[in-house]
Amino acid sequence: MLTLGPAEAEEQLRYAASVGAHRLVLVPIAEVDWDPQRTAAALAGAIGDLEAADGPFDLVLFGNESADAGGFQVGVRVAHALGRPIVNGIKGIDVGGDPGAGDVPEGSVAARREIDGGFEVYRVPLPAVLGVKEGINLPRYPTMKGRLASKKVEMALDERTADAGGQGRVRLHRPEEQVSETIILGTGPEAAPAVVDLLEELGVFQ
Amino acid sequence: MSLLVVCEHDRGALSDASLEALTFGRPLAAAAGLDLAAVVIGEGADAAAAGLGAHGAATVHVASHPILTDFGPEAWGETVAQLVRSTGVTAVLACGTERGNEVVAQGAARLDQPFVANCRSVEPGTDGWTMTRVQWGGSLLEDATLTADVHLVTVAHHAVEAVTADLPAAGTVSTFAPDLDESLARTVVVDRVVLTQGITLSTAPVVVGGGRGVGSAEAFAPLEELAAELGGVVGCSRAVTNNGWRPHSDQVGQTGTRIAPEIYIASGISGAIQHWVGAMAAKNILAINTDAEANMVARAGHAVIGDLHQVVPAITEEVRRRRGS
Repeated sequence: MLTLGPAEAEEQLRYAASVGAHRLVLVPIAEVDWDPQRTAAALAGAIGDLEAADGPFDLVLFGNESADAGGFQVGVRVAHALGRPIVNGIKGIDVGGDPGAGDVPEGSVAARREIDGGFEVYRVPLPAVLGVKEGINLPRYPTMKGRLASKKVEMALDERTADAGGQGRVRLHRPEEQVSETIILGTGPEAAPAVVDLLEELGVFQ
Repeated sequence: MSLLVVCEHDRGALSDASLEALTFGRPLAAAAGLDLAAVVIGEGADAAAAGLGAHGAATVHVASHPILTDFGPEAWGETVAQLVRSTGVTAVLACGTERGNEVVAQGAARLDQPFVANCRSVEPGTDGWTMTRVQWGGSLLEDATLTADVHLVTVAHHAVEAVTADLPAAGTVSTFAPDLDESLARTVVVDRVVLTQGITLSTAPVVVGGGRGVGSAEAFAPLEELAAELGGVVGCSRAVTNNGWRPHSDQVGQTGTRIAPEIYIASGISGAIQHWVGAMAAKNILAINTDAEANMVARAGHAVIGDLHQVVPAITEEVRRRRGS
């Protein structure tokens, strides 16, 4: 498990170890946020060093986007830097050769991405990178045993430098609250006629 | 010099998201002193290209190559990058859909340029561009700057309402044949599985949503009935998928589906911010909740205070009564 972040990110890595990660690497940064290009350059470098030591990863998984900054690009940039294929938005993976993977050939993965009303399938040769989305599985909870074991997993620090990219932050602010006077149509089932009046007015019920 | 809008289409029918991008792109191109160009890729691109003059595109590039028949993020991103290099494109815009963000990110990586995703407003300037972009699905805004040779941005989906141009542009169609390495076929869609025919969560005119207050998978049946009566579908909050009552594909929210129905009937949903950002593009919201102080009630235009288990069947019954069925 590899992440880039401030010292507090160690907590997330420990949590990952408590649910099964065997090895933890933190690229520590002093500032709160690095822009996406800088982040991707540092992560690609960190992955390159890990691979130089221990051989290539078959599959590198990224979250589709960060919950906070939501740049939608770090995984794509890293994959491009590593010269590997990437597909984003993945909510299902079958690894070729695994029991249950059907006719997916060994050395490749079948990746499913949700589309409106169904899903589309990609067949990607390994080594590959995938951007996965929430909902791909229900994460397990750490067991007591896992929690204890996680404390013993070594955490490697990989200090890296990378040039700042072209996106800069000026400030964060809350959107103007949409002030809406809520019209209370009634209380309990007696409100049903007023609700259907509204549906008629909106043209969703004729 | 031009601003290139990357358009998505389904076998020739332009997506609403692309029309939003064109709507957003027209004033942006004018402010930046750029011509508006568009690119359509894939099977049916010719048909999609035909209507783009009405949306303000002076030039429409139809990208054509054997491996561009179906969607592939790398092949599409490489096509965008080559258009930028060869046709005087200095800015790229798409709608911030799954594909839009992915293709522009691919283009940005290939051009080694920055990319700012999900903007609400963009101000071009000679010293770099400034923009306001959404974070946390729209519950937080970031004022950002973009300094680049080629400016790549996406506009947040539903940030603008798609309208046609006041004055149509020439819409001159130009075929573009990118030079694509065959290896890029590795990320082209090989199969597509349709699970739901007809209306879906993101296109339904009515969404009946259920939250923790519904209580069980079985208790969604009355919501299904109401949705069926109104030609809509059922959606749910994260608490519901976490409890295993409904699949994640029904989840409305930041990490689920963004809905934009005529009306969202939110039953037993407290209205956590992660849910709200998926629902806020609804034109009208009716909250049904026992708690008059719930966030969803406060944010909704209309509310019924009461137990959804009584209110929802009563609405269904009233709909049927008025239909005389």
